[in-house]
Amino acid sequence: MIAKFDYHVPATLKEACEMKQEYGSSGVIVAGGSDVYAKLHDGNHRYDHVIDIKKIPEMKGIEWSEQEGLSLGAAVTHHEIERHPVITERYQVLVQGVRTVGSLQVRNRGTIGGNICTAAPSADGVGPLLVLNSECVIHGIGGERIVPLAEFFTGPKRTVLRSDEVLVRVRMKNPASRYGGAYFKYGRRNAMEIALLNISVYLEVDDDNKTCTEMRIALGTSAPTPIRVHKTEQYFIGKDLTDNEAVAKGGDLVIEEASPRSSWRANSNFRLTLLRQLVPRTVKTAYKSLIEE
Amino acid sequence: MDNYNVIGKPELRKDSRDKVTGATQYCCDITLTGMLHGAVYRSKVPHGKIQSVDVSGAWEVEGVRAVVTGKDVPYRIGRSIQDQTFLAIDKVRYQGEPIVLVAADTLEQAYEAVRKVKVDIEQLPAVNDVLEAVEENSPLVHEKLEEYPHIPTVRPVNGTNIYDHFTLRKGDVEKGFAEADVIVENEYECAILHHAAIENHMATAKVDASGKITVWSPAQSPFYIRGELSRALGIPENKIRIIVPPIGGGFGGKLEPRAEQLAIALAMHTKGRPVKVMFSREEDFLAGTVRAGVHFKMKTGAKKDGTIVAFESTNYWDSGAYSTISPTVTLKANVILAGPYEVKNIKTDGYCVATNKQLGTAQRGFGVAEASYAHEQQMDALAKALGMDPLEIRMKNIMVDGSKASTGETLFSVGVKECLQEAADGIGWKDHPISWITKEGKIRGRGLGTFMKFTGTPSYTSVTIKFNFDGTAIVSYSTTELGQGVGIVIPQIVSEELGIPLENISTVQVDTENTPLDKTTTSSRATFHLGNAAIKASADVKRQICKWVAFKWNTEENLVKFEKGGILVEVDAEGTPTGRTARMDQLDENSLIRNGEPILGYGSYETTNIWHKPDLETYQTERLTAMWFFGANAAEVEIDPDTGKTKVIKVVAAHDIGKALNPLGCLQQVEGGVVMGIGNTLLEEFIHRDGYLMNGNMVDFKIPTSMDTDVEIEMRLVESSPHPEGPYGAKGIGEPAMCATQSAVASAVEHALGVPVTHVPIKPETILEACRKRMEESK
Amino acid sequence: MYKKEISLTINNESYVREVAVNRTLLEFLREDLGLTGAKEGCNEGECGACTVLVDGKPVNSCLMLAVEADGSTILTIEGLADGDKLHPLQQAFIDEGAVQCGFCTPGMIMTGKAIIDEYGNPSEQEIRKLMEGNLCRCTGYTRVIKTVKKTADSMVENSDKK
Repeated sequence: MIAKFDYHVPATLKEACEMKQEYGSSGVIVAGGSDVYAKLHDGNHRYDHVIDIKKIPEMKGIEWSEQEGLSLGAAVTHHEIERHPVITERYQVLVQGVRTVGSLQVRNRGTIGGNICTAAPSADGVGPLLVLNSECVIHGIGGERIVPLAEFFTGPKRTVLRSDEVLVRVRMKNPASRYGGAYFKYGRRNAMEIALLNISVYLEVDDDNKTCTEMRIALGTSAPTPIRVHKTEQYFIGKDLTDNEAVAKGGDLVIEEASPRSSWRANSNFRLTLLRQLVPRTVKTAYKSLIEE
Repeated sequence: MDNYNVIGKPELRKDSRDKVTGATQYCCDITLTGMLHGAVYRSKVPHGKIQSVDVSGAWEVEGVRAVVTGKDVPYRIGRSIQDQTFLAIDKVRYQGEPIVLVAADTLEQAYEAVRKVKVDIEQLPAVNDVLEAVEENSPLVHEKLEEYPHIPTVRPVNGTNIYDHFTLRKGDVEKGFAEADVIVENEYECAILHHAAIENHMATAKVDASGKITVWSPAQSPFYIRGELSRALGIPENKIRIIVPPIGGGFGGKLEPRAEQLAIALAMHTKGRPVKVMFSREEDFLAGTVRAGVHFKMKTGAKKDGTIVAFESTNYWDSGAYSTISPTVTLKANVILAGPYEVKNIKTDGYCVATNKQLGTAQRGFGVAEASYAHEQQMDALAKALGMDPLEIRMKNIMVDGSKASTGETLFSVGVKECLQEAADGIGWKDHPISWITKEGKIRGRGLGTFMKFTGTPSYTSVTIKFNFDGTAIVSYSTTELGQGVGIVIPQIVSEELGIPLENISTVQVDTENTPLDKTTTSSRATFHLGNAAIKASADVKRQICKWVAFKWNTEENLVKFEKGGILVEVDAEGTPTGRTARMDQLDENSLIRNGEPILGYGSYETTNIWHKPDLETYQTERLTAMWFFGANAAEVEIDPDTGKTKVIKVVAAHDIGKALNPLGCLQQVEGGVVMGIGNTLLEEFIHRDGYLMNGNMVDFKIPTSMDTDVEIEMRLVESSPHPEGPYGAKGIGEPAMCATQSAVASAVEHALGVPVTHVPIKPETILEACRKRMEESK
Repeated sequence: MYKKEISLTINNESYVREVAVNRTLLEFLREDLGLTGAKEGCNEGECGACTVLVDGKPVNSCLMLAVEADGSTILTIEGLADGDKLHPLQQAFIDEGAVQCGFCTPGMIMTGKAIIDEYGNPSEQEIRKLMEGNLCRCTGYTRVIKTVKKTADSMVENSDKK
């Protein structure tokens, strides 16, 4: 039972921004509603104003071109992403991530913009977007600005969005023609989970097919926000990815950069142990995907 | 070979068509004229004194028709100990305990009114841990446990949190341990967990002008709830009517009255308007019921050859804020805590303990799955201590016909040895090591689990059969359909007995006013008890039919015989067939019964006469139960040493079924039971902090999904030990289906890792370390 | 706005209704229209008992507002059979014994139907993945997954023949 609210459906970005500004903390922006309405059902949360932004044209649709790369409307659903022919072919790591969001039913409603703006440290769509070097197109009353996704989060459930701003699109350049990508989600169950941690890897290798030339690793639920681990990434550059020991050492390094918290769900030592073992494993999976292509 | 028409056949359920089309009306789907919606203000804290309750704000909400507080309905319920009021009055004892009720025209208004209720509670320290709860200086959940009325077989310990202290004494354990060459002593724990049926608790109640109460509720055992309510309210049983639509899953969780008393409390204040109270999922977790947690201390002694000579256990059941049927869970687990192994000397002390947590109750097996996990870990520990094969030590001690149970009684119809062999064969026990490492670097292990369990006795049930002139029959009984398939097995029996086609038989919605008396839908008892009653009711129908056919044939009643397959045969005084016959399904065409005396068959079955009351101190008796169930599971698991996660590869489930009346039904129970057992073992637990439930939702309380259950399940039905008193030799399968899964999976994990499993669910945290050691050793 | 008029097609019949904006699609179907086949199991998008198809896509109707369904075409379990003729998946659920308590069954069948419609004949592993959002406590899923697979196989076979 969702408590009474006033429902607004802005038709334009301008209207949406004005409404967000006007209603402040008594309002909530909704697209798919898979997070917001679930939360409102419990009776402990309520908003006087629900601002449904999914009719705004700029927030819809998946655009792709060889020159510009990929642009996802904030109101694009996870299922649209996982079924998109170009994304499934060229952005496999993103597909792997969004495929673990909730269930098919949730992915049919939940949006990539919602996954980002909820700003949960565990967001399944965010890690892959981070390793794809995505950037956010943000619209406010004063106009548009671009913020790299890596700079979007300021804390758990906190973002750089100002009181009048909404996320419009998230976009990224095309990945290299040859790259390896992998997403690993750790939950107690194998589905319907909030990640106890997640790992996203994007890597490129030299012509010798084993020397790492580019490494991007993002972690979820390993810090107050989803993070990139730049020192660990740097370590991998020039390493032979077929050298198990060298790859395993990446696991020792990554735990220096992670700061998972302890909660009743899992304590931080456990999460660190897992990271140490699973980051190298995910790197190997990503490498394997490249080699076996 | 049996020569049955429908018995033993995989007949399809009769209620499926309605279920696949959405036509089935579950309790939540029923809307009555003038119906109001109820909502509940619940305690936000686990333990505290209620200082004040202010409901004035609730009354101000538009559409509110009734607001009820604890003082308005000071009625006590409790099967064992009458320790629970409909609503908290002076004190709250668990998070989620109901304090105030509201009924309003719409659910939205009722929720709004609940938000306006103000309750001031002085918080008390919560009793969170079962071992601390039994310490002398523990705060008390119930200050005066001894002042509540209780049944004579339950023994609350004054001034403590102990609802009941169960004792069993067989032989002389001191002497037994003195004879032992090896003794293993271990402690094991099982977490609290929730039944998590997909249908939440709910009830709709109506009180008419004469004071008669009607309740629509997914109650597993409506007559049990009727009895509780009748006593609590001081209203005779014929003034309380409970109607039970099809139930959306029970597993023991819908045994206790949970929403019923709340809906009634409101309906007593709404001037005849019905009130519907539906628990949300969160409320179901907090204020439904749970499987109690348990802490076992176990000590087993054996001779060098593996013969077990003594077993001793003290165990503590974390039964929560009110006692419900928990003492029976403690009892049932303690009786079989040494397992289906013949042990001469046994001593157990089971403590059923109060804590400020959710209410423990029955859950598919009444403690047997937990006990099985513990006794099977002990068997593995013994095997290790003696250097024996885990199968061998089990076989050495396994019960057979004539074995003496823990109760001292001599057992019959014991097929557990065959089950254990079948399970071991199915998993390829002798062909593989019990643990190995795969090419992919995963650790595999195989394990065994056995169980024995008894059905609640004395017990009773009854069946009526309305036989129509057109040859169809309407069968009435009050065992509820909660997915287990009683609605096909009983018609099968009637079809077999009367020789009429299965499609001619329909069943009736359970309704305490219209369907005949039945004790309960628990304890895997329906096929056995109800089946026997159905056979007797069928015999009654046959007798009446023979009488009428004799009248029509102008012969003597005793000269019309009923033959298998539904043929009526006339015989002469010497018993020789005269040649005149009639078929049961053509009685109408032959004008043999229409417009005759209406035919109503009745059959009842009860087990008081075979039951010998056990001695309360020793629990020794000549016969404890109508029926013992036995079975064994074998499991193969694979552990990922990077993640600490366990995947169950295969489970072989062998059951001493006596006679499978519907093998498809058995398979459904086994497949579901095995998966539930896997969930219990690897995923499910309530996590509390100071009495607060941390994970009361479907994300954080993790029942298995389709992605967690890709396990090969092989069922092996052992029919070599038919029960002499069972219908066609049948026993039961509902609870047995999961009783040995937890133990087999835990045993497999133990073998994989080489360390005992001391806690279920088995958590990746605790096995990662063991994994690492295991991998290092293998290098 | 607190109320809105919506028009939509449900099970091939058109409806025009005024609904409160905070009413979920599930509440609208069950309470306003009496289509009680979809069930409330959790109201948090976890159990899938409330699954219906909106423009062919399975969604949790507990997490969707009725007003969001304005203009869409909805299929619920009540609209799946063609008169007396059950959808092959419904028939298979009966024949394979994939129904026990039945409370999750309408949601299971709607998701299963949508999977077959969208994916044709996915593997058993794929079906497990796509059915992850429909929780069941009775069957252990074994029979459910097999039934969806078997039905997909036979539907593909039948359409090949045609």
